[in-house]
Amino acid sequence: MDKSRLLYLITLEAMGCITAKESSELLKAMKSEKNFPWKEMGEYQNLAALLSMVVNQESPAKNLKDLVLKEIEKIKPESEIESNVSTGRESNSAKIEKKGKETDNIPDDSLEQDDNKKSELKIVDHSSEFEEVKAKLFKIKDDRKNPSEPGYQLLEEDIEEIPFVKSEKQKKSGNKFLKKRTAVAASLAFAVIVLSTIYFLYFFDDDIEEQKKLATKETEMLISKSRIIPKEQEPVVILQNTEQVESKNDQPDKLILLEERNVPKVQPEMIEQVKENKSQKPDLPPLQSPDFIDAPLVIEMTEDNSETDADYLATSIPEKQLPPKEEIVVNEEPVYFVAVEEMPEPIGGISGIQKRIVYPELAKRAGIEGKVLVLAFVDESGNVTKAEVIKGIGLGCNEAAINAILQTKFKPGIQRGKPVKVRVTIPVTFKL
Amino acid sequence: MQNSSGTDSFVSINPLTDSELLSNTANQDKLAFEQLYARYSSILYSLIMKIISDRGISEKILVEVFLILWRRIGDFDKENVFTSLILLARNKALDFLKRRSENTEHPEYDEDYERFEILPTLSKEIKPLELHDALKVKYEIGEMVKGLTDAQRYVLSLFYFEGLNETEISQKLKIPLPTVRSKLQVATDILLDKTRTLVA
Repeated sequence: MDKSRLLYLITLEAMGCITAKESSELLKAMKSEKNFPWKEMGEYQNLAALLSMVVNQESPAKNLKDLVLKEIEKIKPESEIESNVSTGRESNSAKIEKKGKETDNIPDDSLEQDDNKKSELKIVDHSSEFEEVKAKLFKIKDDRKNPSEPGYQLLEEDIEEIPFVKSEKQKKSGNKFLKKRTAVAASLAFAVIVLSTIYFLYFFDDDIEEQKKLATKETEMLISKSRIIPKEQEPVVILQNTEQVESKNDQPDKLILLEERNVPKVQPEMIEQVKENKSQKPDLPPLQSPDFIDAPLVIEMTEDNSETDADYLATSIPEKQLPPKEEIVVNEEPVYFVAVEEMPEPIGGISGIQKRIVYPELAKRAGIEGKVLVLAFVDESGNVTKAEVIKGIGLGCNEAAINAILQTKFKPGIQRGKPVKVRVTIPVTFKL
Repeated sequence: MQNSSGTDSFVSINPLTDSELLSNTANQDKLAFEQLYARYSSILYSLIMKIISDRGISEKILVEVFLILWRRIGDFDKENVFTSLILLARNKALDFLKRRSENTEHPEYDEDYERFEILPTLSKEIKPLELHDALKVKYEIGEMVKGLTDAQRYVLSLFYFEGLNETEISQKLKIPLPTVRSKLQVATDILLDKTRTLVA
């Protein structure tokens, strides 16, 4: 390749404005050219680096260092990975040896797996988790089932169940998970009962089938929203509900049914947890059910008859206390005063803001000067929560002004001795 | 100027050179990494800030740059910490600028891209530079750049700080492509001549 062309490519590369096409051209030349001008390339690169010295020095935020140090904790540098792969494998094989006492077939398999995945550290890690989980499962299985069963069959079953067990590993969260699950199941059951009773009462002569479908759809929607109950159980819950449309008492039965369905999949500990939760269950449904029941029940009663029901209706509405909620929502919108007794002032004065201005390169070159009016929203603690340009001059100056103001701490505005939110207009002058 | 003298004293207190610090960092020495951060964070940040003109984004990019340093320490030229780090920060910032503009297609940012396009591929023959060498000639470099004509300086800054390529510059300034090329080449050659005498 022509040397002048090469030098030009080198210049472009050093200055950071090389296109992808030119870059590959240069890389090719670096590999193939015998008289590649390495010395010149080095000089250009050093020049490019030295040119950075012309920028005005400023320091990044001090907390950034901690952030960087925190982030690198998460990353392992390349050199570390190899050593870790070996240690990871050692610990794995140790585990396998222990487990080897129980079953003979597995160690070979998992060793093979390990060999396949030498290169990928992460996968090796997973496999060690995998081993742990398997080991746990074996214990459990052995406790529960007859120990005479061959280990090989168990393995296949176990693999299917691993995702289930993984969530159990975090027992605390698992506990919550269960509570939620049972609570949601109970409330769903309630909702379905209520809906279907209403439909029975009102549309007795109408197409009950269609109504049922609607009801099931609704519950399905709820289920898919919560996504807490495994899919297999959905139809069961619904069927039970539509069949046993009688009283609230059948709920505990249903829950037990649910538990029984869980049994083959869940380790004993889990069931114990469920049982513990069960003791709390009778309290849970009545607490949640009113939300679902209130509205339909009211309709039933008013249509049916009697003034006492109307009284009940009258008393039940205030209990709901809907209006106050709305008020709260209204209050949450921040109100910024325009004029207060003591207006907020930027700490360091307007000149302080002026110092923070980074004159945009573009405006500087275009020789743009002028004034940017910025509306700043200052909160009670003197921080600027929001800033908007009222009148700008463009070419990056507006953004520069907003940035400068957002970084400025204010003395908050005072009304009746208390700091309040105030919005103020601040002129920022750009002068070359 | 205050800054440079401050860093100088810091360097003289600390006997380790940049490249020694880098080798130590390669051996997972977090203290060495911290020292590199202390030395380089403000110069790299200033450069990124000049290119991006946004504090928040510049800080994010600075973090990225140091994470790349930690993650890809094996790929770094141990002798040329200064040039590697500066060019790395510059490339990373320009890459961000290019990705932000919508009118061009962007290559996927993957391992290889970072390795070959973001990490500078330094020449086989390159004179080792340290930060304190560069700080010593800081003033001269400023003067050198001032010595260029306005047009040369402008074209150079469009290349260097805005990452425009030659076609984009010729469109932007409405001047023919060869003119852009000659401006860039003349400017860099003048600068190169002067730095030769400076660093030597």
